[in-house]
Amino acid sequence: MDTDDNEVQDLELEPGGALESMIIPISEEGLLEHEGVESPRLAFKEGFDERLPSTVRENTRFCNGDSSKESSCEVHEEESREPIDLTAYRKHIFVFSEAGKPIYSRHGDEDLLASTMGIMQALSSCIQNRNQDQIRFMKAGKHRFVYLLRLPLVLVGVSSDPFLSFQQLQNHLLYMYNEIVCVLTHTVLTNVFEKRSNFDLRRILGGSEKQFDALADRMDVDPSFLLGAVRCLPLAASVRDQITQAIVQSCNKVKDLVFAILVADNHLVTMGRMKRYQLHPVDLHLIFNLVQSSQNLKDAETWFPICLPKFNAAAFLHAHVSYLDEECVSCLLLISAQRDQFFELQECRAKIVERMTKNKLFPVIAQSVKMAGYSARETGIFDLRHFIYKAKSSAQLSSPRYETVYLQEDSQRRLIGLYHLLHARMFNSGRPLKILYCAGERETQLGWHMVGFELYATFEPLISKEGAVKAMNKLLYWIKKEEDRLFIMNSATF
Amino acid sequence: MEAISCGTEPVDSTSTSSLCLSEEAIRFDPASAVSRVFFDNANEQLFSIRSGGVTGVVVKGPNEDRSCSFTMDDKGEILSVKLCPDQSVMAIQRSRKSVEFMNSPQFPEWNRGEYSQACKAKSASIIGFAWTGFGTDIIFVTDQSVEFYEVQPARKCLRYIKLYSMQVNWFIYQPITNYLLVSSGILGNVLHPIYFSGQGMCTRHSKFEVDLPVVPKPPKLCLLDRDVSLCRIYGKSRVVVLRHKGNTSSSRSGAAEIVVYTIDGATPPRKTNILKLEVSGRFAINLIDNLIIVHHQSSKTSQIFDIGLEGHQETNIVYHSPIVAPEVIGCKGDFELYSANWVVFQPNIIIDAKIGLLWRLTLNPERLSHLIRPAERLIDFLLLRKNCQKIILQSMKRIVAEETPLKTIATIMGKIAHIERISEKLVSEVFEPLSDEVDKSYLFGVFVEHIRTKDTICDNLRDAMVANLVDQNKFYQLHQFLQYHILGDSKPIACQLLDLAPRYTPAQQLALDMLYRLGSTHEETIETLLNNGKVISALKVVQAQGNQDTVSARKFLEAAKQTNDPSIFYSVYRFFVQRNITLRNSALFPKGEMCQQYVAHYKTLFGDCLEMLAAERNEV
Repeated sequence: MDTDDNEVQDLELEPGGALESMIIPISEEGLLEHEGVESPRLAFKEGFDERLPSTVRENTRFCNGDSSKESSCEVHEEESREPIDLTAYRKHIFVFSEAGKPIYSRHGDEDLLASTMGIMQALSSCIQNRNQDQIRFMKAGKHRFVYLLRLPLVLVGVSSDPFLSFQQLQNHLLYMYNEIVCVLTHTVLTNVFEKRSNFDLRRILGGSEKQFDALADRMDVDPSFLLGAVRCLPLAASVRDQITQAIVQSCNKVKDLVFAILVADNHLVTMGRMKRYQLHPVDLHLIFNLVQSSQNLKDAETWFPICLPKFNAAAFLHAHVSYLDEECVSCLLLISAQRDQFFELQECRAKIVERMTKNKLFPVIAQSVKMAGYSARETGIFDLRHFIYKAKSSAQLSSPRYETVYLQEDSQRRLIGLYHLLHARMFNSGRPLKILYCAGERETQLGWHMVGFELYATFEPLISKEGAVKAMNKLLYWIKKEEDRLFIMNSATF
Repeated sequence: MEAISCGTEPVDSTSTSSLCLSEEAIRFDPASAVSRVFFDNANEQLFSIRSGGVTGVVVKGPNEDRSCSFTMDDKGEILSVKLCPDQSVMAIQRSRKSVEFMNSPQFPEWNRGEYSQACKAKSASIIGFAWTGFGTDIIFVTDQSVEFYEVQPARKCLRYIKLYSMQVNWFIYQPITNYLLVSSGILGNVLHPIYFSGQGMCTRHSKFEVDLPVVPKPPKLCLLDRDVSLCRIYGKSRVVVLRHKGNTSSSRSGAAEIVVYTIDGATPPRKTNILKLEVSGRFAINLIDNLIIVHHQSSKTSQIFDIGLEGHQETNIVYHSPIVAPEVIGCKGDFELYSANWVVFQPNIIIDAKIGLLWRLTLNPERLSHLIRPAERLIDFLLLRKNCQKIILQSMKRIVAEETPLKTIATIMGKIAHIERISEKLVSEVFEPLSDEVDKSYLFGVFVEHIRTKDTICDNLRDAMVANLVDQNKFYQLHQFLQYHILGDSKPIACQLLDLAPRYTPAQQLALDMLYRLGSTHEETIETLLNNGKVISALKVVQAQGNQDTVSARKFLEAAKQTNDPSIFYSVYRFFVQRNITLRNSALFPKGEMCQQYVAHYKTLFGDCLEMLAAERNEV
């Protein structure tokens, strides 16, 4: 258990920041910096890959009956095979192979969209052949088209959402690519296409569409994807310490256990990790998405291979996944490098449940989930409606729940859209901004990019500029005051 | 006396012909053994004289003042009879040597009595006489001279003024032109214009020769008075000569033509226009609203010429073709049209001497407007007509509805730009009725072609242009038009812009700027914004003005409630709660502000209450 020096923290770190974060902080440019496909960052550096079991034989992995994701196949079959009106949707994501073979489409049936994807591939290869260049963006009317070439895959995003910039849409495609790697590993992906260039990848992806759909939709409403940071469940520091201790102490003895992660309602509750290894926010988002989109995890303890693309895109890790409480709120993932550790980890899990039950920790977690975090009014800033704060060094973010005028889903989407717009304007590569004040008809927004943090706040439309700046400072003091509750300040290791 | 409608007014538009005999006609006793009929073209009076006047003289003129009836003694065959312009003296010619005069009984200050005047030259024979139209001045035309006198009815005698000696074949006098045209020479083609400029005043203008298609051998009189008319077209006096080509020449096609000579005091009369008739035979000429109407008897059709329109020009002479295909005169009633008994007088009189009817020929420009092509020519034509604005607008509507190329529209807009209040009229008569029928972007092109011809844009045109751009969602274009003040400012437009703000964000600022330029006070701007549901913007103006502590909370809360937008109500409500806290350190509204219902409304919307807000504030 590492504890940071409090004095140092006070002097140099932003509210919620950490000197040695369990999550890898990523830079302002977002995720594109990490696009390299073989980027198990620390893993290679540390020589971790050598200790990992060698690549799983691809053809056996998906035939295993224990894969919890199999059943979702049926849901997909039920979908209508009628051609769909593509323009009826605000956002699309298409994935197809270099040979133009359909792999995935967010809306509609891939087979029926084969010709559409064929045209998309033709456009891409045309530009590649003639100009020795890559197609990146297209604009047609109000629709934006974004290409992401991750050969052997081509991903295309189409959006008519005026708030979503090209870069943000490209970010969605990167997540989608990583999601596919998460299911297959990069090694498998390249191998199958090397063997047969017109391989139908859906044969080995079968059952994962639901997960992809969930990710595609979630990215539209969850700003944590936009900011590349992880959302933590607000808990009193003492409670979180108890939970962390319960997990770390139970897992201490297990060899090759890399990460122990406790997730509740898309929030990170706590995390234990092997010394020297950090998790990338992208990998955490993929884990959240997996938990969120797989209802059947609630039925039993499951054991399956998982690839964390930013950790090591080349190989699988193995995850023991289970809900710890009756209400299925807290989901524990024990991720190990060993493929035959199920029973050992089952034992480990039992110890955690026992410790946490004894300390009556589950109702506390459930209560926090039920409250959906905290209210913006707790800050005591009268004109503040909502905010998103990202501590850069710890790659964690915090925001209050949607209240009053943002209770309706459409107004929530509008607000998130406005954050996207603010974010895009501030990260405009031609003219990056440190501070941006936007007074609108319905709300006034202020964005701050400071050394250690990003803060985006939404105020009453009638606030003055001076008032908004004052409120921002006040808000920062409040976050600092509350950081123990809002963020995971202590990084626990086995 | 039957009324006579004026020939230039558009007649019933349902009429199938563009030329019509007037519905009202003057009926008279046709010429017979006992009755003689005379027509005085100058006064447009018709004289029916029965039994040399013993059994009655009936005078029918265009109105009551010029109509009368009386009796007189029969003193022999009457050759000609004419009343002077003020109707006080009647001149009667019964012989070739003298003219007799009778003072009218309606002027009792003069003795009723008769007197006569013989011509100066003893050997001469009087061809005819004419009142000049100035006072009681009269001219006698004899075969040797033109004699000018003033009749002095009180003294029952004539005062000699002037005499021009010349050989005369025939003469025409047309008071509208004030020209006397006298034919001389063996062929009759030397014409002397004598101009009467006032009482007792006349000038002789240089004579001119009408060229003849064929000169007969031996020479004889071949230009006859029936082929020559004097008239006033487009403000100038014209001599209109019918030239029968084929009558004397068998080798050439017989198509006749009309030659127009323009007499303009300063320069000698000259040939200016030639009208191509393309047919031959008997013709008669009427004149309506500067149009020359040529009736052709054998084909029973009439051709219409307009020398004001562009024609084919050759050595200073403009050649014209009929503006439309030959038309047949329309008529209500069963009369023989183009009858051999028709006698045609200037400007638009047609008399059937046999059945005893006098009509006026009327023109229906509305119907012509459907026939004339192309559009530019039609507008030129209509612009030259009297009282045709309505038809111009109707034609414009048709031209725009047909989506005529904008190049043509541009030309036409240039032509009609001078019409008074044309923009307003175009909007109400053309653009508004067509706004849903014609392609909107085409219509906007028409607007632009119109404003190009104007220095200022009238209010309803500007409104129509704004509406058009809004309908087309061309907000950026609208922005440009407003920003560069091509379209001016107005309060209604500012309000319209406020409505556009959700669809085009810059519209709001444009609206506020406009209100500012219109010199609205802050209060007015606030009211306008409130009336348009822009409560937040209105409060921002209040803040800018620094009045946020004194404005009525109730007024803004009510406006916010009216928007039915909870988020606006929320913001406004919280704004005033904040004010309460700042001013009185209490979130509650004072009783005097009468805001209880809004507190209740806030509770229903957000389930919150003031006490909680207050508590929250106290925490802070």
